[in-house]
Amino acid sequence: MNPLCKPWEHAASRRQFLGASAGTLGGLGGLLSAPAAEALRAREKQVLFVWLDGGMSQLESWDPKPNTEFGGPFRAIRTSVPGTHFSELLPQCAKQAHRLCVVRNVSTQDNAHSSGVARIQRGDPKNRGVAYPFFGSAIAKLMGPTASKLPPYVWVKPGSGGFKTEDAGFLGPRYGSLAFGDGKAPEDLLRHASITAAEDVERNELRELFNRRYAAPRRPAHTEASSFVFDTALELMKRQDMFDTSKFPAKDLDRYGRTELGQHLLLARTMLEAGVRFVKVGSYGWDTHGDNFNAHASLVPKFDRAFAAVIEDLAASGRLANTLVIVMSEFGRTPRINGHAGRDHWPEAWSVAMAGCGLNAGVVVGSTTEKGTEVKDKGHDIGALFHTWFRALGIDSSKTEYDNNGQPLPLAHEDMVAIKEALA
Amino acid sequence: MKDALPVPRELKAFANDRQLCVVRFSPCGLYAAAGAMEGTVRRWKVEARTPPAPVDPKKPDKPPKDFSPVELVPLPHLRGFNGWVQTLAFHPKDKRIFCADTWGRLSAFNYEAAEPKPLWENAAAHEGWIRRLAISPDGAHLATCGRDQWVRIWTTEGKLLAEHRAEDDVFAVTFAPAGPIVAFGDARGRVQTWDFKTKQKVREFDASAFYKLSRLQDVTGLRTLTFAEGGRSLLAGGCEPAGGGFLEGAPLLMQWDTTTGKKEAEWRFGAAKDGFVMDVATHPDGTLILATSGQPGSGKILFLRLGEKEPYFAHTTMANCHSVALHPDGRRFAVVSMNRASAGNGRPKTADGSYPGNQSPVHLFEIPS
Amino acid sequence: MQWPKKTAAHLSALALGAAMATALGVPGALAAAPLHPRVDELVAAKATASGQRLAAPAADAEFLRRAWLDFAGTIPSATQARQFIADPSPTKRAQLIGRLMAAPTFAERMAEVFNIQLMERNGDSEDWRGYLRAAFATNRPWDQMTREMLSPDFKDASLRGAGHFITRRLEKVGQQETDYPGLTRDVGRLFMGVDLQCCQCHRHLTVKEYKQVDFNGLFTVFSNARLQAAAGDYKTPWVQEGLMTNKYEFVSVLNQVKGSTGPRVPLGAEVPLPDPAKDPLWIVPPNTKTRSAGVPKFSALGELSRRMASPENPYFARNIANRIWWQFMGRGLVEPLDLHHAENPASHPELIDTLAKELVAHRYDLKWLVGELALTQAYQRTGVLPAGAPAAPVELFTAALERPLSAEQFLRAVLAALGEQERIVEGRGWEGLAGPRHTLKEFETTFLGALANAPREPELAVNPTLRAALFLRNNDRVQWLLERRRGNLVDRVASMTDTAAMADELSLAIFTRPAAAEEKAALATHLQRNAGERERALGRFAWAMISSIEFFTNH
Repeated sequence: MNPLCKPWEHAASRRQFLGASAGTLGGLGGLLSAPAAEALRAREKQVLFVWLDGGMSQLESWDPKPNTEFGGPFRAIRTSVPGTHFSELLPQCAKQAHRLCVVRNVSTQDNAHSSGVARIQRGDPKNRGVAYPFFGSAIAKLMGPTASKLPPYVWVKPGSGGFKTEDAGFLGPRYGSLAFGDGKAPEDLLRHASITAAEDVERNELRELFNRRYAAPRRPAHTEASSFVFDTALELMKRQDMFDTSKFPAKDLDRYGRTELGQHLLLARTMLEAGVRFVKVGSYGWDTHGDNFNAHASLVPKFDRAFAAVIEDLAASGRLANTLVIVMSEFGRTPRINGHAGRDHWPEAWSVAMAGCGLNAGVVVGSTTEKGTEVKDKGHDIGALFHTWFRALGIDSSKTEYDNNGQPLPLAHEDMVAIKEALA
Repeated sequence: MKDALPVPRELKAFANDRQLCVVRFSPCGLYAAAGAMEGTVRRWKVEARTPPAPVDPKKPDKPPKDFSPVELVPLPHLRGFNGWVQTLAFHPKDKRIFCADTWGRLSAFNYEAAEPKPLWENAAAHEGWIRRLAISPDGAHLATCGRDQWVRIWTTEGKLLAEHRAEDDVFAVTFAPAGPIVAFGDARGRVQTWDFKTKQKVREFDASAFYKLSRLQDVTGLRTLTFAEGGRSLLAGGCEPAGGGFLEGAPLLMQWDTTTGKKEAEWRFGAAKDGFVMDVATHPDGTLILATSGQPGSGKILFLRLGEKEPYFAHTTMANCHSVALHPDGRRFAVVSMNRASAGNGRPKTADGSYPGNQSPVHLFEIPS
Repeated sequence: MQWPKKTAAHLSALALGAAMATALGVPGALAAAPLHPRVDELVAAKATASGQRLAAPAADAEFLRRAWLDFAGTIPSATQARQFIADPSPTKRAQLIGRLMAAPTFAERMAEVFNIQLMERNGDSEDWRGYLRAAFATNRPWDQMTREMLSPDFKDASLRGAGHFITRRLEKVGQQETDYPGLTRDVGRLFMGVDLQCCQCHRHLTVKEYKQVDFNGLFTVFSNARLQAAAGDYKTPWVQEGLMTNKYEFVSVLNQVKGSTGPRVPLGAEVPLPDPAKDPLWIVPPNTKTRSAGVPKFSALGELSRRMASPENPYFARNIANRIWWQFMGRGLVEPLDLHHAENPASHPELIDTLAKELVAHRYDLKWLVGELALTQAYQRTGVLPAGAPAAPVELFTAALERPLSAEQFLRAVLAALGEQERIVEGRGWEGLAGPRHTLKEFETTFLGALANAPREPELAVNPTLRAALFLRNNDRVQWLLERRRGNLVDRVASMTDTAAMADELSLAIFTRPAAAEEKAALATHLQRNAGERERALGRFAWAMISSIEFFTNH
């Protein structure tokens, strides 16, 4: 079976109309010999999307403005890229700067969390009255699972886990995410205690026997879809140990930091290695309206350590070349410091850091004014970032369209284009 | 028990063009200084004024509306700092002021000098943010603490005498009234007294109520340490954090017996929005004057007498009181607060499209005799 | 298998018609002109014109399972299956349909179907369920039900449940604004088959007929309704209408052209607003002392629902006819269900016209329509494709289409199949059993959590999900059902000796059909291989059956 083409796409249901007309992505696998398929698998593109919910301050991270009115108490430090400085709160990332691509002139529209989170993660396209998919759901739809058959979109997050369908928008719930709440496997992932592995295999073979017999004289779509999800379930179950942070090597646990985000990023690396197409890692509590500087002094170094470790590991294993890494929030934080030493919401001028697949390494794109209050040129809205990411993954977002019940919809805002300086 | 101090009245608010972190009076009473959220220390001459002729002859006691018997007359800033100056201290006897910034610099100046130059400075007294600077009552020692987890004891000439590596970011340090003892407290609410001669810990105090792990954030509520009752007890002020990010929590003051380490009292001043006890000044009669800052824009000056359950006076109309300093005459005090509408106001621009920063007025109060 | 001779079919239909008419109190004259032969003529004509062969009639077993799931919401027992298969009567299918539709479970099943369709898993209420059950138990006409839902009488205990359709949608979620556009959209979709969402801000980009005025004519009605908490005469949350004297004004975001409208049935005429100069505005004027908002004389909800649920509005009958067809045939004559418009013609235009016309003539009698569809060859055809021919396009209805089981159907079917219905549903048979006593509530929560769609996501197609697969593989409740327990399926079969008979019992209980030869062989091999632990091996065999796609769908 073609690993890039999901069987349910042949289903005679409403959902068959919801596909992207991304013809260039399909049609390869079936023609490939086994070694070639293996090679393709090795080259499969993946995404690590780190979401710092609430808004990390660009001034205390990627775009420091030391000794200016709004610059805050922290120093800027040198990085591995001559001339580029990060906040002193990012010492480890500074050593990885030659692998990063930082866009410092991001300029978006929405300064409210409730709408901003979704607007940003959906790429804020023109309003056509439909809910666009979050980036992870878009990639699950456009690229599907890797040859690993693991679910294409996994979300490692604090709090509750399970099947989160709301990200999928008009693509429909199957393009939602499988969420590992507090890094733990979702409900019913572990094999039932009363069933041995061998018994599980045996009964599943019997199930396939019934399916084959039933499907033989019928349309195959539902049976294929059923087999697919049972196979995916099995793939997940087989890897249950791999997702158990308590079994990770102590050395890695220490390198990533024994913090929530550290362990979740380590889990994310493991999932990427296992073949999950798109891993989103969420971290909450970045909405520092009060005591912003002490908050960032605590938060950013934990992010720094974990993020630098994952970049380093992906680079060391050669995966970075095929893994698009993104870290961002729904907006940045205000240059002006409020009365409680906090920073508020600031979509006007903020930074997004990226690395890996299809991107230039060791570059800073764009800049902000001296006090960091505005972007220097027009800046880049989230739509441009979406185009950039799609392009980095080999998807031509200027040509490919979704097909929503016959309504053609662009993948990203059609008035925007990819950020040239960011693309390799 | 002695009578309570009379209720204070505000004399005047003095505007500034920057946000300030801390304000202090010189021991001679003639100068005031404030550390700013920029690399400067603001200085003022404290000048008395006699009332002009009454406006209304029928009411000879009523001075004109904007009259203040005390004025703060700006002097040139102390410069040479980076980041912010969050802490400073006057020498109790001579004319020196010691200041520390968030990039690790510790400097001494003559606070009377018209065009001041540092008497000495150490650009790397700490690695990064120096959170608190204290001077011993006899004027012999300085203590500093910082984000680099170090507590350091210096001579007032800037010579390092002793140092101690704490387990975490150190937020507060203060000298005991007598003896080679400092108290310091770290990000997780671990407070201890430490003998800098023997370099031994004297006693631990459980201030863990000032700490909370909120998701990823280690939220530190501790802001200030003060010895009270001639050193018999130790006070810690700050916030009992309810959560990170937005940062809400009730202002909290704790009191321990310094010889046993036992908690003697604790006060919570208000609701979760009320925030932090940011600074404490002790009146010669023992009354504590507390400055609090919370969300959104909440700020109070509280008068509290040890042994009582609640403050007997609260001034609530200033926004975000970050620091309070008592004049050596015991009759006046200064408060660093915030301009109006500075709560959560980070985004708006003015009508003309400009984007000015917030500012901290210094409010001068009088305690009537 | 052959269809019964035409005369026989007509006779049986007439017999059923008379039987049903008696049971339902429908005047004989209406039942005398059956619709189903006409339906089959039109389906056959289209298939022939497309050069496609029609599939054979479903085998008895296949039909039996389908009919039970559709009309009783569950599957029959192995015994009932055996009896039906063995019954030589040529009219047994019509009799079965008549029997199932006359049973109280039919109203339950219809209430469930409409709850899922109308609420789309977005919140439940006892009053609402009670309303639906009562309405279907008395075969209330659909136009009346529609008026009761869209212009609810919140003071009438027997009717207020209907208001849940609106009140639930007006509840605020988190910090979101009240979702008036969502309610507007749902009314258009579910009662008229027109999804006007795109027209909120501009004309529809791909559908010519859908105009901005159509959305806003509906929107102005619902945005005039305020959700109020239960108090006084109102035992449930209710909606209060405001005074409406002005048209609603809107601007197209595409070309900034302004427009305005009063209340309006989409794609229909505008309702005239009262004239404040001439018409009395209030039934009960507002009272500033008691702070009561008053009751306006003009009820936009009342006007709208009256005009929408009317023969004057052709979309109304076509929508419900299409949805009923979809429910029992697995695909709408118009697809998507909520995109009726000129450039999206029905697969069988004459058929949808006929269904809609006849439904109006039968005063929106849904039970009559369901009964007629059940008697069609189209409904009773096998899902097995004619041998040797490539699969015909699904919209020709040449073979039965697979349909999803709702989570509720799945749960009932699995409890019935595995013989745990009595314990779980009726709470009987627990005496002397070790271990926890499970409840129906607990099973419903677990099964709906794993198998129902997310809120607001229509359940329209067979939808195997990873969540469902993990659930069936590993869930504790599922595993519990497969353990041997006094009187359950595994217990029954474990006490048998002949493997062929065991396979038949399993297959009749679970699949509602006898076991095939290869399945019998598979069971024999399986039991041989696991000779030491027969019961557990049977449990695994039964698991494979309930986890198969054959069990997962209504086919």
